[in-house]
Amino acid sequence: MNGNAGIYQFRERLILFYKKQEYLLLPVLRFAVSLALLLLLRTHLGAHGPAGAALGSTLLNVIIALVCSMLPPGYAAGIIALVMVWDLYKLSLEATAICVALLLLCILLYFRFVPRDIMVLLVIPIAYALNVHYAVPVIAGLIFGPGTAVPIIFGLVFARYVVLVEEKLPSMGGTDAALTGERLISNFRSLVDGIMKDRELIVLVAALALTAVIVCFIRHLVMANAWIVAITVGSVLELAVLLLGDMKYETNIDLARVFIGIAVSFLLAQVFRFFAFNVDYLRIESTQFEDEDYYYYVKAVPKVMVPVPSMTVRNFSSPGYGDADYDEFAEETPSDSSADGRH
Amino acid sequence: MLNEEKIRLMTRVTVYEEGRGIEDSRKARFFQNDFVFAEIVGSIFTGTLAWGVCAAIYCGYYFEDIFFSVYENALGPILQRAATTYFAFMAVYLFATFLIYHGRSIAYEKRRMLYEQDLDTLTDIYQKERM
Repeated sequence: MNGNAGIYQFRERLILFYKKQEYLLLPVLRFAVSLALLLLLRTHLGAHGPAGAALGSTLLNVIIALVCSMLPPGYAAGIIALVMVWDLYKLSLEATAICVALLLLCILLYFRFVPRDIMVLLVIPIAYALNVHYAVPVIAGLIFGPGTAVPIIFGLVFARYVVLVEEKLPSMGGTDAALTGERLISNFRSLVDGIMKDRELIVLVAALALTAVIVCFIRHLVMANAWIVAITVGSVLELAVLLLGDMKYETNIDLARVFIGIAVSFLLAQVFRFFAFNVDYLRIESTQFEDEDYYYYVKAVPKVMVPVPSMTVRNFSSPGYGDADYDEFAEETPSDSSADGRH
Repeated sequence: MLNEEKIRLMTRVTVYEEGRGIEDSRKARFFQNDFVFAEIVGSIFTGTLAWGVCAAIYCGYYFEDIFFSVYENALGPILQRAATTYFAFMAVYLFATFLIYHGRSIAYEKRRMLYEQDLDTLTDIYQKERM
């Protein structure tokens, strides 16, 4: 452990810094997440939008993200959802209807019960765009319950839905006045089919949801290295389900992209574990005692704690001649000659 | 001299009051069963709305079939299917609501008991200090 003392000291310093600056860092984080989501929407839908669309203006996006940074995650998610619905409305009525339906289902079926998991829903589209979405179920499984699989599913569906709308827009005819009822229903059907019959999405959703549940289960097992085992099994499980899905349903996934994504996600999960749960399994202590009602078998796992050396800064500066406090300084400091007793 | 035990207790009590305590104070207005019942009533509305959203998507997708069924006055099977899915969906949804909120109310009782124990201990400490 001595060799790693520097890393542990760095970790302690970072945690200390976070604790001190939490009130500043959390709004910055919320701002970054909100802006990233708005810019993602702009990337996919902005090019098709009319001149007045909210997504078209970078300044407006920054202002919305700033507002979101000052609000709790639930309200921020609501604002981003409204922006998405508004911009979809400018593009296509059918796409808006499906988006509103998905949002309503998401709120009514899940966030009514567990509003705190909303951060997972916000993060997953960003992670999906960066190809590190495989890390989300692993990390969420470590810190939340198995129910976190639900926001993961909704997050993936929203991320894919925006891409689907972008792909289908040219053939949908926009918000033309000449859009007939038949065309409207045909567009609606093609969008629903695009989500429900997307085998790649179904396999991905199954892989990530199953991973979240299994990681959560392993992490709560009474065993040494439960977090490490949970992360490793989670990553392998994701890969296995994606490969099996590819073989069974011919999803034609980009294997290199999946391998890289899972490898990077595995590293991210390990970094998270390093900061969130760092214990020394070599120094496990076991004890056993009893009272009137029970026998107790206790296993205590010590945390890795490294004292951070405190730095003392000594200031050797002295006021210059003519400075306001020079006279005071000169009175307090005896001259060298008088200090040595020489005259 | 600082009383560390008192500071520890006061911190724990304040953390609870400013965190979970806010949510728990809502539950404190109800008896346990009333709280679960109120949430189930709420779920009847939200569940019906969620089922309605799914039904709307279904109707949009199979618009032509439903339109012809209405035209031919053969809505019976569709309505029967709608009723079956509604009751099945609501049964699952309400059961899930019951499990979630029953579990939460038990957890709330435990938290509240610990909180009240801490308050009692704090009162004892204050009384000892006064004497």
